[in-house]
Amino acid sequence: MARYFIKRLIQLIPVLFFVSIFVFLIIHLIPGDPVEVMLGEDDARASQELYQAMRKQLGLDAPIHIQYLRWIWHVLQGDLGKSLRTAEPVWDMVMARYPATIYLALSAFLVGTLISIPAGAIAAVKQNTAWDYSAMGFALFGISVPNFWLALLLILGLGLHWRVFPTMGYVDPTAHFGMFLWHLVMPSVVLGTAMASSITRFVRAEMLDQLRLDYVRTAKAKGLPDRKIVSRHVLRNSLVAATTAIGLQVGRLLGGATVIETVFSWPGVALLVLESVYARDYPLLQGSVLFLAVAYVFVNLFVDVFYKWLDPRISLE
Amino acid sequence: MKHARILALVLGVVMSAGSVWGADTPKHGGRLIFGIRKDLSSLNPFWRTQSTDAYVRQIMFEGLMDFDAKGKIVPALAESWTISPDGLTYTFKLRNGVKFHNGKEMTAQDVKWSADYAMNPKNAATGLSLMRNVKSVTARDKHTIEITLKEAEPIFFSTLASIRPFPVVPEGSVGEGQSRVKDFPPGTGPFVYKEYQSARGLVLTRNVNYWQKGLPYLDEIVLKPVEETQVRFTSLRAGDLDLIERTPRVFVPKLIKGDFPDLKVAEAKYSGFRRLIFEVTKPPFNNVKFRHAVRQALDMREFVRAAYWGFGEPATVWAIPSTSPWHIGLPEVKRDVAKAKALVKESGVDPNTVIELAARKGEEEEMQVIERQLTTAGFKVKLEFLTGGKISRRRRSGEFMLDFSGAEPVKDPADAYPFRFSCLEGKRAKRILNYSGYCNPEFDKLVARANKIQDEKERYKVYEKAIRIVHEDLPEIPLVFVPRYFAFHKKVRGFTTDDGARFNMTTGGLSRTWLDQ
Repeated sequence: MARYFIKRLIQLIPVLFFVSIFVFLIIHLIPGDPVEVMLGEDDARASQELYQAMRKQLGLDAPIHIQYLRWIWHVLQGDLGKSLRTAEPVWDMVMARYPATIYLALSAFLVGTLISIPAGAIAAVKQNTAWDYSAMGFALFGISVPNFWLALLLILGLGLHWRVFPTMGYVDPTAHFGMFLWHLVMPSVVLGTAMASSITRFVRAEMLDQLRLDYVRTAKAKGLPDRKIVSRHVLRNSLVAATTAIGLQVGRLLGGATVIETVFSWPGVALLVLESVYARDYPLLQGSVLFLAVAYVFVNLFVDVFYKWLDPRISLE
Repeated sequence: MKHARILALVLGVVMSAGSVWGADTPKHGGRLIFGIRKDLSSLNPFWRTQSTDAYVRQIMFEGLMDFDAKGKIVPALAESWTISPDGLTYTFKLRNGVKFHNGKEMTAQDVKWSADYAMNPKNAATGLSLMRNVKSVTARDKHTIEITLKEAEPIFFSTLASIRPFPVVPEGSVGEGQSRVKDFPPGTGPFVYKEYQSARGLVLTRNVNYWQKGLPYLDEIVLKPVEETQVRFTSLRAGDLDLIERTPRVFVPKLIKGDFPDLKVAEAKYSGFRRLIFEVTKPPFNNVKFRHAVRQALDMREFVRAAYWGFGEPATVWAIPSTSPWHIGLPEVKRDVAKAKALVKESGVDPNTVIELAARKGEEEEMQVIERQLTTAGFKVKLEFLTGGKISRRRRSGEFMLDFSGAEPVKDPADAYPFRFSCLEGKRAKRILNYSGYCNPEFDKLVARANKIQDEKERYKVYEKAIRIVHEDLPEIPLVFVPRYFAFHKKVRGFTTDDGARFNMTTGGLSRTWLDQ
């Protein structure tokens, strides 16, 4: 296991190197000048002098390869740079926002798995019944409906008309845990529903395959109750394959859900990335995307390890 | 019994009068949650950045003077001023006893330091360009500041009527070259910076030492960024916000009609300005008759109705009609398809020429109206929707044909016309603001002459001639003024704004807002 970890960490280095080049180049290819954005494009008194002064101060006057080398040199020393707008260290900014993304991702994961695994299992066990059709109908709905539409619907219904939940915003859990949960419900339901929709179908398909296997017939022949067969054997075996899908979803969630964070004004890292795109805040954008790439890789690593726990026969090598 | 009835009547009258008076009497206290469109870009008051930043800063910082809601210059930190006859020296008498948010008394030395900071190129402050004509800033005594110019510049006075050239902060409160700061420095405004959390909001508390005694009324303001417009309005309706800016126009008729009984609306009538910019150095729009043909095909009133829900009014110059003393009543050009076609014929331009009309993504509604008006007048139009960055790049290099653009109306013609229409600006390899590439030496001569005239009325007379030249040459078509709307809960009282949609002014805005709860 340790060897496997080290091997994966070593593999991370070239991955991150290429990600850093790709991110840096892509960001600088985005039309728009950060200084123009800061000055306000149509400032009637904007002068070349001010424009050049700002570019110099922000280090944007250097050739692009020098800018990259400067940046990557600092990254290798653990410094992701400073925001062009606020001068705050990028690391601090990302760390300040990442908890909100983690809370949202984990709660969406909880909602998603609590719905998808039982729904998929029931749909498989009671195939071609009303349970099955309901679960698949829900899955189809969840996949088809754009999540921002669902978000706006919940805001109008549960937020405005019935005043059950707040329409937007975030409260730190350390400030008021109850309010934090209250604000978390709607965005996590939206994201969790989307996740549940795809996982439900996966779990159902996997379980149907497992239910046809010989060991199930053998277990039934031996007199094991159906419930035990499903819960102890079939479901666990099905989850091995479903884990990949779940892991990918979680990785995606941990990268932030840009639309949901924007709609609900949830101050997560995806919103931070979006803000940095609008502002052409290069260091913040580069640093936060690199951070997310690392996070994604570690999530996948965790999923691989979890695989092994689910099915000890799997070799990590 | 009779006495009891009289007593009851008198008591009833007194209590009714009291409740009427009480309802309009501002109350101190309360917390206002204000939904703003975008999060702050910077906590540095010397950086303008984008409009939300500028408006938010006006709640905490002040300049020497300010504009009131009608565009008149009023005293702010300076209570009086004189200008030397040669127009080179401006002397301001500062108010006594004004305190910064950190308790320090404001003196002329702080004003000098703030001005010098803005003029230092190392700080890359927005005021650098606005103060480029300043030779020196001198603190004559504790409450007298003198600004000396290199050459007379009549517009300089109105430039100082805002915090754009420099907000007044305590000496040394922002480090040199540290124009990006983690926290706001102290100001003198009605509200004090308390804390800021990215994407969560900015919290301001009442300045108990504010120089306008009795103000402000609110204890606290929380400015929450809520980017999604519909969500911002829904949150207001749900009570999660008390006040919002940029109310979606689709709801404004209902707000005005009273369909939302708990909500009120305040209008910033001329906060936005829309225009079409021609590239006049290349075909087909190097032909002035063809440009006039395009203008003749447009119906501004229908444009306002179709694109802006009827909110707005046609524009002919960059000036606000109601408050600009230099506003010229140029005739509105009414749509005349026959005349447009005749002008196309006269111009000699091929009528099958395809006009490439570009706008930013998000401006599709406006462009579809313009496209329809042009195509029904016989023009061939190709619409393009581009990112802001790409549009900007094309304009700077003159690689466009016809662009739709927004701007803000200006308080003085010198704030727009010299930069947008001068030959010097138009002939730059990389255009800064004269995107059209327009050049008319006669216009330049008139503007140069006007900018040396001290007397405002005389200056505007000369500017009028220059503006008429531009109106005839038509490098741009001024289209419409577009309002912005604030919506707020009925418990929010006393909130006003100006044509520029500012959140706060010396004479109004959030400093005079209170909660009736």
